[in-house]
Amino acid sequence: MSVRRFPLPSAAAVLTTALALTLTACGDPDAPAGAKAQAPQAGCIKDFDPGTDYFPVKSQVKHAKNFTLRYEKSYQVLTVKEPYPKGRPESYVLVKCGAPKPELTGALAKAQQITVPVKSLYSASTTHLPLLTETGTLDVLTGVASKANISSAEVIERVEEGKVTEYAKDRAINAETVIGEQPDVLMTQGTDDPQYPKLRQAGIAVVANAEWLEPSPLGRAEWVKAMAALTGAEKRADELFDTVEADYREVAEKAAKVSEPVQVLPGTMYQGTWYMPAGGSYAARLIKDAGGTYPWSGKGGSGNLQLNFEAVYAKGGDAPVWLADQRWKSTADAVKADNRYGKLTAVSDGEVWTNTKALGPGGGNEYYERGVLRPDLVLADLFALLHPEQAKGHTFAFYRQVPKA
Amino acid sequence: MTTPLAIEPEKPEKPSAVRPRRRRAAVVLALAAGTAALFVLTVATGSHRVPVAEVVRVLLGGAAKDPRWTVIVEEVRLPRALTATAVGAALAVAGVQMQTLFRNALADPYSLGVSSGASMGVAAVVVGTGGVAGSFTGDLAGLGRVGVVLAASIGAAAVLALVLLLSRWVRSAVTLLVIGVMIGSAATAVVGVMLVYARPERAQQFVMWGLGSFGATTWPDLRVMLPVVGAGLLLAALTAKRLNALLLGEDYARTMGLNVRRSRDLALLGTSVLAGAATAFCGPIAFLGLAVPHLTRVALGTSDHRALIPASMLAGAFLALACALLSQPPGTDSVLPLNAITSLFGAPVVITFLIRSRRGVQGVAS
Repeated sequence: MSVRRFPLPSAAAVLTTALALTLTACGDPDAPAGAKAQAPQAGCIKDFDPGTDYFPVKSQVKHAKNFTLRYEKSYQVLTVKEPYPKGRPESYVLVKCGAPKPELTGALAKAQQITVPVKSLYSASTTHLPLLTETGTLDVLTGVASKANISSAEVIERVEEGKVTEYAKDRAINAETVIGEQPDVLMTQGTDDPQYPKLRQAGIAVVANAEWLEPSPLGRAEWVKAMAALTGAEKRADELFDTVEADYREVAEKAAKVSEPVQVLPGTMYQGTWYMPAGGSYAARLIKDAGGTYPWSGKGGSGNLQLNFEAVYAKGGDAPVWLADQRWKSTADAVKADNRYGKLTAVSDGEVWTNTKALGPGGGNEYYERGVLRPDLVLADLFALLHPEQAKGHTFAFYRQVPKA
Repeated sequence: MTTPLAIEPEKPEKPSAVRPRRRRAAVVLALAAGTAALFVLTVATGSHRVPVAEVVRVLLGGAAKDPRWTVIVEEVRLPRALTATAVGAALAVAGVQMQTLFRNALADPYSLGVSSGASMGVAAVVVGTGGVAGSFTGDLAGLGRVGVVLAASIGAAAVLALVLLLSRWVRSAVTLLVIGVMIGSAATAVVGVMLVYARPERAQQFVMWGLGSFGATTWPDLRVMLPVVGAGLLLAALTAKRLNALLLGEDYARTMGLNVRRSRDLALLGTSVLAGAATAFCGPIAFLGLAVPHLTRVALGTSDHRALIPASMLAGAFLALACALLSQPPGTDSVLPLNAITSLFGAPVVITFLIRSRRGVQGVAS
C-alpha cells in the first residue's frame, strides 16, 4: 500500500522519488459513495462539566519514542516527534465529542483539533489495519490508499462490501476523492506527501503515523495506543499491548539464557549489493532478542547497510541460518536468482528462512501488516527457528523454511 | 555543414614532436598496460584480504588454502572485473559510433536516450512477466538473460532509430541533442508509468537495477554478455573505414562509393547491441560513453576510427575498472552506487581535460 513499508527504507526513498512522476488519476465517479458510519454519538459527552475528567482510561506510553500522549480533562494532545523522516514535531488536539473546543495558546494554538472518537478514518498504510481489527474498531475504516496489498481477511471482507474507498490506487493520492468524502481523519504512512497540506486546508485532519521510525519492536507495536486515542479504544489497546509485551519478554528472557547466540545471516542481495539491516535497526533488535547475532550487529544506524557480496560472504557466509525476504519456492530459486547464493552454508544446509509464510490474496505480506503489532509472534518465530530444540511444536506465524532443492 | 558541436573531420596534422603513428602505438600500448594493471588490481583487492599468491593460484585453476578465497576470487572478483572491462569497452565504442553517426560531440548512449530505451525494454520484460514468486534477477534467468538483452537492445534501437530519423530533417546538432534528450525522457516516463502498475517489490528492484552496478553479473550472465559485447565490438572494428567516410559527410562518403545507408544501419545495429547488452546487465551507466571517445581522440591526436575504436575500447575498460574500484573501495565492506562514481569523478575529469588540452579542438568544439 505504501511505498515506505519496503524492507529497505533507503531504497524506498529512491523509489519514492522515482515514482514522483506517477499520474494522478481523475476523480472516479463510480467510487463508492460516502460510507461514513452513521452510528449514534456513542462515547460523547452530554451536559459538559468542566470539572469532570472525561478520560478515565489513560494510556501510558512505555516503549515508543516517536509519540507522546498528554491528557487534559476533556481533550488530549497527541504529539508525533518525527512525523516523517527529518520532519518537525506535530501535535494534534483530540477533543472528546460533546466538549467545547478548547481555546489554546502557544505551540498548540495552530494545532489541528480533531473530535474523538473519530467516525471515519482513511489509512495510508496496511500497518494500521491490525490496530483497528485487534481493538474491535474496524468500523471506522472508510478509506485505504490501495486495496491490493491488504492481507487481513476481515478487512478484505469490509472492502468487498463497498465500505472502503481506495484513494491512492496508483500510488498518488487522489485529493479530490478524499476531499469529496471528508473523512474525520487521514492517517499517514509516516512519509510526507505534497497533498497533505491541501487536505488539511480542506478541513481533513491529517495525523502522522510514523511507527516505522521506531527502532524497537515493542515501540512500533505501541502505536496501537496512538490509534486508540483517535478511536476511543484505549482500554482494549492497553490490554492488547500488555499481552504482547509480556509474551515478547517471556521469549526474550528464554533467549537470553541460551549459552551462545546463533550466527545468522540477514538480508538479501539486489544487483550484487547486499542490503543488511544495520545494528540499530528493528530487524537487528529482533535477532538479538531471539538469541541470534550477525557480523554487523554492532554497526550503528537504524536503516540498511549496503555491502558487497565479498564482505558478506567472507564474514557471514558460514552462518548456519539465513533470514531472507524473497518469495522463493525452493533454494534452487535463490541460486537461480544469483548463483553465488549457492556458496552460502545456510543454502547448502537448507536453512534458508523467509518471512513470507502469510501472504494475502493480493500479494500483501502479513509480516509487514500484522507483524508490526505482533512482535511477540515474530520473536517467537525467530526464537523457534534459531533454537529449534527449545521450541518443539512451535507453529510459525510469519516465517517459513524454504525447501531445499 | 559546420555547427558548433559537430565533430570535424581530421585536420591536417600539425608538425609534432612525436610522429603520429608512433604516438598512436604508444597510446594504445599505455592503455593496454593500464587496463591490465587495473584488472589485476580489481581481482587482487577487495573487502576481504586474500594473499596475492592465493589469488594467482585460483586464477590458474587451483584451489586456495581457504575455500572461501576460491569463491571470492572466482565468483565475485573475476566476474566483476570482466564485466567492468566488457561494459566499459562496449559503452565507449557505442559512444564513438554515435558521435560519428550524429556528427555530434555530445552524443552518447546516455545523453541521447538510448540507455532509457534499453531501460524501457528491460522494464517491459520485468513488469510484463512479473509473477508472484521469484526475484527480479530470478525472472531474468527464467526468461533467459538473452531475452532481456534482446529487449534492451530493441528498446535501444527503437530510440536510436527515431533520433536518427529525425536527424535527417534537423540539421542543428544542438537541436538534435535536445530532441534526443526529450525522447529519452519520454522513454523514462513510459518506464515510470509501467512501474506504477508493477508490484512494489518489482518496482523497487527495477530502481536498484537503475543505480548501476558491475557486481550483479555471475558466470551464467557472462556467458551471454561476453559473446554479445564481443560481436558488437568486432562489428565496430570491421566498420571503422565506413565510419571514417561518414565523418567526412554523407555526400562525400557517397562520392567515395560508400553505401551510406548500410553504413548507418551497421553503426546503428552495433550501437544498439552494445548499449543494450551493457544496460541490460549493469543498468544505465552515465558518463563513460560520452567521455571516453573525447579523451581518446585527444590522446591519440586523431579521429581516425581505425585507431580510435581499439583505443576507445581500452580506455573505456580502463575507466570502468577504475570506477569499479572506487565504488567498492578495497578494505571496506560498503558499495557506492556506480553511477554516482562515474558522474562525480568522471565529469570534472573530462571538463578539466578538455579545457586544458590545447589539442581539444580535435573532435570537439572548433
